Amino acid sequence: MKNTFLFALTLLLALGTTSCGKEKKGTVELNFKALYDGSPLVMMEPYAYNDTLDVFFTAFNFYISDVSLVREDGSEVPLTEIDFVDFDDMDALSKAQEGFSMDFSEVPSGKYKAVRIGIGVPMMLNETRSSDYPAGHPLAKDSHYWDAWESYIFSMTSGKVDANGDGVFDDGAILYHCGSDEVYRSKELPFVFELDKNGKAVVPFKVDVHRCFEEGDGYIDIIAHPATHTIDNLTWAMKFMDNMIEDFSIND
Amino acid sequence: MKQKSFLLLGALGLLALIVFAPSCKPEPQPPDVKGDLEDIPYDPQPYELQIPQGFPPMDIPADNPMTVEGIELGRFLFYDSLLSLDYTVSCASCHLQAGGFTDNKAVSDGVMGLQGTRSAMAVMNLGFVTAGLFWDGRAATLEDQALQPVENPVEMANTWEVVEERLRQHPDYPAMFRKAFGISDSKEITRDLVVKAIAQFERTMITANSKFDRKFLYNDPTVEFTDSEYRGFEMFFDFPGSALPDAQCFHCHNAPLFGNNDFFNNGIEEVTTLNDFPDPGRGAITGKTFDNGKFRAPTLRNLVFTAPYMHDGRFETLEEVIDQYSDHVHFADNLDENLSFPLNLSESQKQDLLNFLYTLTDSSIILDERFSNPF
Repeated sequence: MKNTFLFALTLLLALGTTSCGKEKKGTVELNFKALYDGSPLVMMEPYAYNDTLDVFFTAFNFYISDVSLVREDGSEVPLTEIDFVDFDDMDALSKAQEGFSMDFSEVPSGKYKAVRIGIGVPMMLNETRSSDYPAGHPLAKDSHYWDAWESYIFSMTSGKVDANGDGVFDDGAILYHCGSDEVYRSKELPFVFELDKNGKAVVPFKVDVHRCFEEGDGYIDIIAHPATHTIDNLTWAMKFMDNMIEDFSIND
Repeated sequence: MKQKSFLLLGALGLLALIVFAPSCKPEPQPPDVKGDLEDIPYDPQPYELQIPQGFPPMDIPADNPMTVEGIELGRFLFYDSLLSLDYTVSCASCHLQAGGFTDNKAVSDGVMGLQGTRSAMAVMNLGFVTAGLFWDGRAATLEDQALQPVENPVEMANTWEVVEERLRQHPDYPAMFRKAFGISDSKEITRDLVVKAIAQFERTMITANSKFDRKFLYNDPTVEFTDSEYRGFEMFFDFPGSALPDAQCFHCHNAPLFGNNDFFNNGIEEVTTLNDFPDPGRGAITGKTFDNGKFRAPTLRNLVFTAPYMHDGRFETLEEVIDQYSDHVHFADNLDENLSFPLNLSESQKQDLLNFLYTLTDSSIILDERFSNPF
């Protein structure tokens, strides 16, 4: 009896010791869905842009940065400094419905009330260039570094335009490749959730590409302004990024 | 009583073991097998690759660290026609040093006069390529790439079994493999080691000593661009504030490598549908119709040595290439959007662009002894 008591006590002490200093952790998935007029955006699928133009998209991607979860007490749990969200391969409805995801393990469990996120490459990182990074790093993409701007392309939206309704998208192109420190945007999105120990929570972001082109009561004239390829005139790049961050939300 | 009997039996058994054990015949042992290369010292010297200033880090596979001996072996193999069926074609047959490591043919010649369907790509700075080699990106690494030409029926038309046997029987190669990879016996020479050695050699083939590099990467104050070269530079990179047109070049040919890790339809083919490309290129690898007609954006370094141009070598001169991009791009649904608007460059602007492209010439690589034929 005495031995049994001592064994139980030792076990309890051992368990107590091993659990000491071990934080309870779980996994957070950031899921991003691109939409067009509320429906999943499928690459190469035609969409009505306005009353006269149809478009399809071949690329929609962007950097996210300084992503953190905000605890109930206001303290932050950082998830990533920089990452890349890419919808370019979403050429089927099933893929578009699934969206683009990235997982972060070892996130302290507990109650959270919001998510902070930046769209683009923060100033400090934007002073680096793609050749500074090893293959596989999000910032190693040479297709997303603009030498002459000394900036990354923060968000890249490409597509083609059918202006005469003949079903051939050879009447123009969309090249909204937005970069430079001036177009960096960030926001805090309220999102109440609890991450259980060893559990998984999903943060379901969404952004509507059509809304990124909103201008006044309609949409940016993409025939007159098909590209944001001039750093000395950021009007349309800033408009696009303003719209993007405005529309960027969590699907509660 | 019972216990005493057990003890007695045990003692007798032990005695029997002691008495008879030495007279037992030992089991015949196999003769001591010694590899035919074990007497050759194996002391590989690690090779420290010098990455030029402004270049990205090179991703070197953990299972193929670079050594002086491995690179030397790779150099011999690169230049050895032993790899081909009839001993007529080596890697260097299509990647000649004097041709900027191309063969200056529209499509390359294989054994017995057989011809391929694509132009040989320049073997320069390939160690920095991270998203698939060949025009269609079908090989993930330099090692994977080197595996393919040996058994390609219109290139070397050989089998790896034959190549391995030839190398095992060779008077010199077994010792070189021993020194590079520490094998004990010639029988251990495999295709895996062959391609590792070739890849090591190719990773050393770095070109970064052009006029552009000296001026912009190394900030050499003695290097001056002419006005024409500078105008070409502005158009190539689309400099802010420049009154010159954006020639849209850098999107696919960004510095410092002047290529990138993506695949594009650059509008050289006139097709009605995406199924009409005579060579589907990337589409044949991904199985996606939208990738048909897309090819890797190759480096523009040393263009002066590497004519003809494009995946099928259709353009003899750089003037033709610039004309094509300026005035003759063909629409397709998957045409790269950067090329959707005609450039309409003037003749002088085309010349400026050409003059800038010439600044990407690094003659030292075609004279560098380290990359020359060792035979």
